Amino acid sequence: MDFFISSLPQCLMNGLTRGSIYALIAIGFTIIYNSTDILNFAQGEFAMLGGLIAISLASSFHLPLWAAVPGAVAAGVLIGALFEAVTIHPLKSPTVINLIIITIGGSIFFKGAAMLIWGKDSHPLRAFTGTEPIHLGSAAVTPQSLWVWGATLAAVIVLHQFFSRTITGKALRACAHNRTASSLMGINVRWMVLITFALSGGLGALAGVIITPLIFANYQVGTLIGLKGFCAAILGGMGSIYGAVLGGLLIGVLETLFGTHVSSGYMDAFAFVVMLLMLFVRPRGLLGEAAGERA
Amino acid sequence: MRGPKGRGMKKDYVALAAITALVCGLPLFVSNIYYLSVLTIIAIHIILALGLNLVMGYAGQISLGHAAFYGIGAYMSLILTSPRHELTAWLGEFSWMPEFAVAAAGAFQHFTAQHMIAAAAFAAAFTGALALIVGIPTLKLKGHYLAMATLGLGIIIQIVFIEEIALTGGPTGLSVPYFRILGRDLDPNTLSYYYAVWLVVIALTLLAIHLVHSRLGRALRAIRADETAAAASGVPVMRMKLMVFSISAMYASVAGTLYAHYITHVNPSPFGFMFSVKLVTMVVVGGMGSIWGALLGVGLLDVLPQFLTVFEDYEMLIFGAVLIIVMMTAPRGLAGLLDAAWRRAAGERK
Amino acid sequence: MRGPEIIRIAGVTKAFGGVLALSEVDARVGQDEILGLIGPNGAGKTTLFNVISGIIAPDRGDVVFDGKPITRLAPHQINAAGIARTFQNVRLFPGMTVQETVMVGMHSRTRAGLVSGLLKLPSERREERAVRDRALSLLHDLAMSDRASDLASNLPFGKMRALEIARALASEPRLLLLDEPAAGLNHAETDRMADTIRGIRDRGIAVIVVEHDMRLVMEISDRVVVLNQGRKLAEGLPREVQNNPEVIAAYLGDAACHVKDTPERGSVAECADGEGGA
Repeated sequence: MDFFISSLPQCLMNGLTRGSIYALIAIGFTIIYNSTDILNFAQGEFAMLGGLIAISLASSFHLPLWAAVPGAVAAGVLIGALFEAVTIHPLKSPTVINLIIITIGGSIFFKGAAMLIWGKDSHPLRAFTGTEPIHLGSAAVTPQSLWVWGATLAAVIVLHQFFSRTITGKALRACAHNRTASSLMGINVRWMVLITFALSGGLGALAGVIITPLIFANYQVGTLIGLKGFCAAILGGMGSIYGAVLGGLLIGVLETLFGTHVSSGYMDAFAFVVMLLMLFVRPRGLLGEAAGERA
Repeated sequence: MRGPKGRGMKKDYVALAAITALVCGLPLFVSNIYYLSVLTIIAIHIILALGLNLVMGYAGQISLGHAAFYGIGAYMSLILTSPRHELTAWLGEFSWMPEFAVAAAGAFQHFTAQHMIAAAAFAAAFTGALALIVGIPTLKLKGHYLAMATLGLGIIIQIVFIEEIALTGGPTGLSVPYFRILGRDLDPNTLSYYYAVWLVVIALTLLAIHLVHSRLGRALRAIRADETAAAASGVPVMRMKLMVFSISAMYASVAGTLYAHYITHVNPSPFGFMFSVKLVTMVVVGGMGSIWGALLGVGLLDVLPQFLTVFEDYEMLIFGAVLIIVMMTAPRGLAGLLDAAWRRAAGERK
Repeated sequence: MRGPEIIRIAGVTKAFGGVLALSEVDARVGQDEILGLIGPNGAGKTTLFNVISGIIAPDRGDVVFDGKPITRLAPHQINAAGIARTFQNVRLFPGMTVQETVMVGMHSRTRAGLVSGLLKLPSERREERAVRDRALSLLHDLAMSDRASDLASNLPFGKMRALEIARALASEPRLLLLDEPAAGLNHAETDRMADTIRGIRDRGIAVIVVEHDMRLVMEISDRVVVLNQGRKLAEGLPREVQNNPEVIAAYLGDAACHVKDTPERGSVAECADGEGGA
């Protein structure tokens, strides 16, 4: 019990860092689901590509970090948009299974491409502002973790403004609630779908870039992060961005606590067990809306 | 397949007979052991695809975790037939387990090591029962939620394979003896194993054909077409979904048993998300709701890489691209394409 | 009410979120009658059907069929108990033939199970043959046996409606729920539909018909129940209901109306605000 309490702050710090990444993935996932009802299995790969592209921009192209990072995020936006334009946009009336397989195909394609371009090795990225740990009470936090928290917070704030203040954002929310009515109101739904994928691509890439200094990037890194991001989205409630954030942070912290005190081997299973329990007991998640309320 | 009853099934019988003849005759022309081994693996995959096709193509339920049932079958066979497996030691670790239960398990293990058919049967029954239990909460979910739930289950089970080292041998795995039947050991490197596996495939395909052309098969197709209308017409939807889910799990378990005694060493890596995806791909690319589609899908996705070994590095890239392209251009799979071509040739309206 | 009571709906109430779709609805139907269920759009008619057929559970109230409570049974159990239905927008099985569709309807009256199906035992083959034959004969009754091998989705709309009825009849129901069977049908088809429905009643199957086609409803119904905004507004013989000013007001929107019988134009409604309808 003493160990539990004394290790709590450190677990919390670590958990919030992982959780922030899950939250960013979950948000990207939720945004796409909201406006298209599509489960984007390639979401984790957006993160993987973001990290690897940032590494290439920094080392092969010798860009300074303040250019490489936004560059990688921009690349993510582009990749997301291209993915939608090429594979989703042309479909006429796809079934759920068709869409799931297309996004799975996309994720495999991205992994294959990454393996060809960057090989099977892991690549490092320099931490943004150094690696000297900062002591917050009894816990030690690397500066990069602060960047992770900061970037996630900034993303959430920007998204909030975007969805509540800008016309495009409001249009996206309208689409999420009722696609037919939105289209009748003159909102170009297909354009909205492209935007959501672009946005999610950027968010995913951001997540990848900020975490890479802590975990090293390789072509396989996106899969598990993506899947746990889904767990977070389901925990928080599909369709709710704040749910995605809450779900991500919760899973990050609880998973770390579980891994530290119960079983490190089963730590990866924790997120999925939580997701299953949620699906069985309360499919709409913590903050999601009840089923049947969207046209 | 479609058509008034009786006629459709006869077509399937004919096709099955043709395939049986092909499979039996092939070794006369092909003696290269490597090709025969590819065909054996194809046979095992066909069993998996048949089961998954029943769930996805006939009952319309998505399963992204089917590799787990495959693995459970394989590991069950491992546990029940390996002479040195420490099952009782692992069970003994659970303090709540009574002595007699552990002893009974040990005795059972001793029995199945001698009578491996019993091991295979028990594995299938166990996997089928597990599918029923897991299916009750899971199959209440629809669409994406069901996909995520099956995905989660599959991942959790694979992690159990990796972590329970005393039971499964962990990441390095454990060895499996040759399958002993009628007093003989079936060496997987011989023609006997090839015939044994294909015999099982033919039998299971026959069962699947019968199921599809029966009252229950019709009910399944109705469920896939429109669940609510099917229920209002008297079809017990949940019960049927559970039934077919359980059957598909048993098929997967049989495949796992055949695989374990073929590869003679089982480790967790084939039983993960990627393989579940590959299985779903085989079924969908081949054509859901069509037994022959399942076979086509397996054939294509197992044989094609053989020709593309030059492009090994590109395998993942190509696989992903193929998935996307097929889904975009032929959403009903190859069987759907062939079916459409057949109809056009026969002059029917679409 | 004609014939012994076959179904009693008592106090059925159902709310969706904030909307009260059904409120304390009571009704009884006799074994030998056709009950017309009418009301403006959104009155709750299809919701009531969904409650009776088990697709949704009511918040309050009971449905008693043939003396047995069926309120919270699953749809397939209700079908097995003897209630079958059609849907407002025809819900057939894409990919199945006409004959197969009807055969599905017989699911609750047949027994071949997993083992006999997998092994194709003689008992299964026998039952399948019988099912096939019965399906054909049902199609014959509805003048559709020439279409037996066609894909159901290739049928013209009128025949799709007939097919849905055939599928419902296949389960040997004692009560048939028809949800707007004449919607989308032309004059001649509607007349045929009226004959079909009367024929069903004459065979001893009670029928509840939801319809907007007033001519059809008034012609074939033995009694009529009117719903408006989830409540039962009126009940009685077709003529009584037709002349009920509240009913007319509900349809035409709150004007005081009188119904007169005129030799030239039949029943005519004259309303205070000058609007009228026949």
